[in-house]
Amino acid sequence: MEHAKLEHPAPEHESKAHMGIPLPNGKLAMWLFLVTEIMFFTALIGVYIIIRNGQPTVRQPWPTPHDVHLVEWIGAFNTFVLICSSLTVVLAHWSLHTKNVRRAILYIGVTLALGCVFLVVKAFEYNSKFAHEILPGRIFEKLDGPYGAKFVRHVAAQLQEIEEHHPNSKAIGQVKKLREEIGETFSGLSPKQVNERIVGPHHVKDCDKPERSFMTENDKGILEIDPDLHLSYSIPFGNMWASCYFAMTGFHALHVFGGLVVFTVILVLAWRGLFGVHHELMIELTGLYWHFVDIVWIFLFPLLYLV
Amino acid sequence: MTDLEHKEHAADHGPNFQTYIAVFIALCVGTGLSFLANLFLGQGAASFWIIMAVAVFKATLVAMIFMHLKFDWGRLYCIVIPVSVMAVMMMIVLLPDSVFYWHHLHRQQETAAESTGH
Repeated sequence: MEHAKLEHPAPEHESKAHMGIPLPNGKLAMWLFLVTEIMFFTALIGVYIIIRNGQPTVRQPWPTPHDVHLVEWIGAFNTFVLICSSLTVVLAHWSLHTKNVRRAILYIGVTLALGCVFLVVKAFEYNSKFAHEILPGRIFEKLDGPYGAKFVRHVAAQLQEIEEHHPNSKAIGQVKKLREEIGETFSGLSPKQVNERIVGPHHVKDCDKPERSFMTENDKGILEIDPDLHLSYSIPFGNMWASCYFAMTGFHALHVFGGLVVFTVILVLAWRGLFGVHHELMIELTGLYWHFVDIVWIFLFPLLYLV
Repeated sequence: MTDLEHKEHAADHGPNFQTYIAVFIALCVGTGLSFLANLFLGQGAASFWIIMAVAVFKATLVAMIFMHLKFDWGRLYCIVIPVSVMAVMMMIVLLPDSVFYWHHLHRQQETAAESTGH
């Protein structure tokens, strides 16, 4: 339609040479902004893919979701929440287009609520990472040399805390036994043997297998008996994983927060009676941004939780 | 092009309510499919390709229908195509050095370790 228009002679008051893309300025600006955002998140995701598929090997693998306290169904739930919010924001635009302002406001309100649900779930996830010390620079990746000695001392302190504050834990017997075996001089067991006691023989990585194990196939690790205990264990490439995880999900959460601020402004406008059909382009542009945030999560969810 | 002309254009060619609901259902099914592929196939090449193909399909649906790219393509292709090419190229050009070389190096090290009995 527009191309056909441009082929006809322009009115006298317009320039004869039509410059630029035939789009509203706001929409063009939003797409140019989204283009920069695409490159930004491509860089983050690209670096993650490269690190993920670079150095890890079969003996020293990349952390699995289980290793780093990620729960797949929670990620899937958050994906569902964002998809629902994408639908509601597009329906808000559609409602405004059909002149139904009240329904548009309702859809914007639901979108805001869904965005908040996403951030609350993410906050719970972050809290779990902090509680289990799955943080950049705080994870024990190697159990050889001085790192191993530091690991044993750290675990001994955690065991003492568990004994004092969680005496009713299902694994309290194993906790006491391990603390006794480590001993006062921290030399009763090797770091790899301590790690095996914590995660269990089935979950020890090849690179962390002790030369001599005192555990049988039927024995369970302390965290297998009580996964809620705060005990450190070896996670090869854990610090790199945590850096990538917090960088990607953190920037994404900031973008979600930015969207929520805009939705709040729209609702304030509506509350003051200033919102109407003339805001259709504004809702469309906000929707473009929100859908982009959804697309980023569509890739983050499988990359972090599934593959 | 004025905002008014744009709105008239969108009214003629924009998707309708049923289309939005259909896309929403497809996105939910895609998410479920990814989750089930991971649950039943585990972490492997098969599940990887299924899950990533579903992710690309979902992203395409959102971009084309929810972001109206399908209807604005004639005006936005000059922005979208270059950035898509750049984004894919950025990852591809990094892969040979960072990934393929490391894999090659590790294979060599593991072979050497096996031959020496460590």
